[in-house]
Amino acid sequence: MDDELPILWISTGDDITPQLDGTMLRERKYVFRLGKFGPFTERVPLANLDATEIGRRVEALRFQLRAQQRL
Amino acid sequence: MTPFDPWALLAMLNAFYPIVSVANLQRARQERPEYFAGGRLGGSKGEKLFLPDGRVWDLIYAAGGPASAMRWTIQDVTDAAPGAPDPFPLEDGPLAPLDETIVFPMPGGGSFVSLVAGELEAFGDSDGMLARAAVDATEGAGRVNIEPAFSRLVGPAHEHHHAMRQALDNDDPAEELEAAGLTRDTIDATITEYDEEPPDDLNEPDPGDPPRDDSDDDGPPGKERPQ
Repeated sequence: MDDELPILWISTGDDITPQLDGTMLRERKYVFRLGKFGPFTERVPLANLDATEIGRRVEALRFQLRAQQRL
Repeated sequence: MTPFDPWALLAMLNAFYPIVSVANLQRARQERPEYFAGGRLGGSKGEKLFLPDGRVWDLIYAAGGPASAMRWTIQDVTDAAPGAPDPFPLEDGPLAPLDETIVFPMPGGGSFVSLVAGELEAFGDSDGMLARAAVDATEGAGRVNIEPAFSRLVGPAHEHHHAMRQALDNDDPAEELEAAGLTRDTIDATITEYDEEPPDDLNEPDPGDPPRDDSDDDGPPGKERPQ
């Protein structure tokens, strides 16, 4: 199996999602693949956007995929 | 619609929802719907994902069991849906299930009656013999013997008993109580004064000689104290 799991970005864009309380949540939507797995879709809130958040999520997903490959 | 990748879904669940529960599965379905590819959650405990194409995935291992035993999983159980043949059928055990179509025949109406009649037949004409004996004792020759014996033995006993009851009823217990001195209204501690002489005082016991004082003793006579 592919242990490197390179990331392949499919799309990135802003999205607005209505919330139950009537407010609108503005998010940045990332769609990507990790190796042959995916697509993965992650949303990061735009308010006080943390540019490193998506990187942490990608690493967490990659860690889990590697663990699954070892099983 | 986002294509469904079971391994991506499993990685997402393990990465962002470490606590395995149906509630967290529903939360993941709401927060990250793209991973579920438009499927809906269901099953007996809500642990299964039903995809629009008909596939069914089990997402929680040992759902409904202890929390420590549950973990995220991804297992295609489409063929194990209700109505599908069991891939691991159990062997036939030693006990066969009851066939509900079997109806046990009801016992015949005359069976019990015939049994009882057969048992009674063995006694023969015992009822008639007992009835005849009773008639003989009360109306026949037995009656001639019973009445004189009753008047000779039981009659005097009845008369004696009645006489005793009559005598007891006529007796006035007040005379007996007065004769015994039990007619007072109050009860004394003693019926009569204590008139016995007290016993003589006993002499004090002799305590004996006091113990010898050894401080001035030179030891037993005839022996010298070692220096």
